[in-house]
Amino acid sequence: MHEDVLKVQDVSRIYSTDGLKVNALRSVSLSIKGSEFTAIAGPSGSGKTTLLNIMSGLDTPTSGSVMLGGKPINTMKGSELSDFRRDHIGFIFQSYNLIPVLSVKENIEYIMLLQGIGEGERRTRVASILKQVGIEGMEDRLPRQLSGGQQQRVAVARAMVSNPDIILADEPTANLDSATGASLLDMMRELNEARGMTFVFSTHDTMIMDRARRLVILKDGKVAKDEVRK
Amino acid sequence: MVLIKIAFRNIFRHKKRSALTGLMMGGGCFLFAVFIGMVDGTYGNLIDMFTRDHTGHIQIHKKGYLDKPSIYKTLNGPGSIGIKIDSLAHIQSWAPRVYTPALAFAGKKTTGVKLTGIDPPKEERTTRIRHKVDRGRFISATPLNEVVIGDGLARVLKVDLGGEIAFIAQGADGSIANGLFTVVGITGKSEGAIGSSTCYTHINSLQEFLSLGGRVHEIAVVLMDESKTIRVVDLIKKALDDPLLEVEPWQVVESQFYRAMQADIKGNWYTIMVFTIIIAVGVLNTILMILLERTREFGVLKALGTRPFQIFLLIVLETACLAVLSIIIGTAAGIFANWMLSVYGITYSIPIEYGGVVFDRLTAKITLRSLVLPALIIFSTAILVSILPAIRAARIIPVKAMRST
Repeated sequence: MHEDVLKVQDVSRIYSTDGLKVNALRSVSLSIKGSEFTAIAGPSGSGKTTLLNIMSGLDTPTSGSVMLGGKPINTMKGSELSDFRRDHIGFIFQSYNLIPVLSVKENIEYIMLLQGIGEGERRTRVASILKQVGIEGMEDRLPRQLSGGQQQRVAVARAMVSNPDIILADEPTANLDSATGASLLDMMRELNEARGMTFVFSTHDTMIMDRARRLVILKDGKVAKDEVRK
Repeated sequence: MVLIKIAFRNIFRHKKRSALTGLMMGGGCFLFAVFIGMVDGTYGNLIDMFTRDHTGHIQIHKKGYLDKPSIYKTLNGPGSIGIKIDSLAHIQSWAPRVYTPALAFAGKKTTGVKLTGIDPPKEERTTRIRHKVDRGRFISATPLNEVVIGDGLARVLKVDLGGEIAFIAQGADGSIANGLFTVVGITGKSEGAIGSSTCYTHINSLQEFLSLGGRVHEIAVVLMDESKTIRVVDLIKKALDDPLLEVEPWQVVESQFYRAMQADIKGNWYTIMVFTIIIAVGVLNTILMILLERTREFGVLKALGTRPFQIFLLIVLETACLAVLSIIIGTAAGIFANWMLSVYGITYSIPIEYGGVVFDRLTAKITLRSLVLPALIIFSTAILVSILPAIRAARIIPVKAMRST
């Protein structure tokens, strides 16, 4: 039985825009166990991206708490929060967000460089991850020399290479054609199975929902459905 | 290290913008280098001409002579003073002088002059007075009542080579001194206003004329290196150890000229300040544009775990990298321009008179100041200007930044 990696407890998030208060999340509680492959889905405005941002410490809840690896990330600030994100969370963004001036290899190495990991260890890990995500031979290319699917594979590699506790992916297939998206998802699923890495997706893509072993549906900022599949 | 790599590569990301900003910084560095090189060259030249033509780097007088010159304020035994001076470091040579105001008569013309008694061999080793003789010759080493006069004075008195001038002055013994001197040389037009009263004769002739005996009014000292002037003044003071003597550097002797020069140099700094502000605004504009364009990127970097200080450092490093590249190019161009100006110079269409010295050519000099100061000004301005935008970038909230396009 896997332990809880992430625990969201009674989290609410209220945005104030032009004097109007919007309840993006209303008392959401959710636990993510290690090795889960979870999709948080829901219609636009249901609060899935807000929940993912709060889970990662990129946004702070108006009330409630978020524990990652037993530590409350909603109270962390500045460098402490940066270091925590660097060491415990892997990100995959909708629009890849690779560093344009760094090569594939350097992009994958970036977090390890921030962590101060030695060159030998970095080289080994990069070589291994390049193989796993299927972009061997492209390590010296710049992001602009890659297709969208290839860029997203680099982003997956970057997210995984530092062995974080959890990988949070915000609409990772939104900018990809369905074939590329499916192939990328299959690859992530294989990695999840092979390495036991925890994935949480925010999505409204049925391909992700179909492949997820746990599906959390949000509606109007609340958990409407939480289903574990076999 | 990865931050330096990102910073350096980002320079080449927007080549045109970096080139423009680099041009501004490199151009500024080049301009400052040439400006300072020309200031150093021109003033170095000016000081050299001023001191080597007549004043010398250091002068020794009887106490009070500089404030109120008088033929009675004399130095006894210039030879023994000279021996002490010769024993000191950095000394090139020294020359004794005697001065008196006098009335000069030639035919029906008369005018007031300043008669200067010089020791020709010593003066030749000390100053360039001899080389100023345009027509005729320099006064003989032996006292023969000969005078070398300025071109202006020759025109006022309407005398030429071989002509005679009668001088009347007050002797040191209270008598009325008068004597007849032969014009053997005329100095060129380069002496400007001074040329209309210039009148050099042999020191012994003038001492006899004024009944001064072996006494002199001034000892001018020339050093091998002008920059050592203040240090050598102290050395001479210690060596002479006489409270009745005043030993002053050329900056005090020609204080009016020195103050005017300093004011002029100060004015140049204001020009540099204005240029610096223009460059600072240009660099700030670029950095703000970078910040605006790359807000999303900074948000991503922060989301990935880059610390706020590392984002701050990235912006400052990017500015620093561009500044260093620009400075290298600007300084190299500045050195070349200063070298060209030091060799060829720029000839004025109309010569300029400054402090009684006439200049017909603008020159520059490659000095450490002209290399280091522009680089320091540009680099520190660029870094200073990048600090505020860098703080803003460091404070970016990732979730908001990543929403921007």
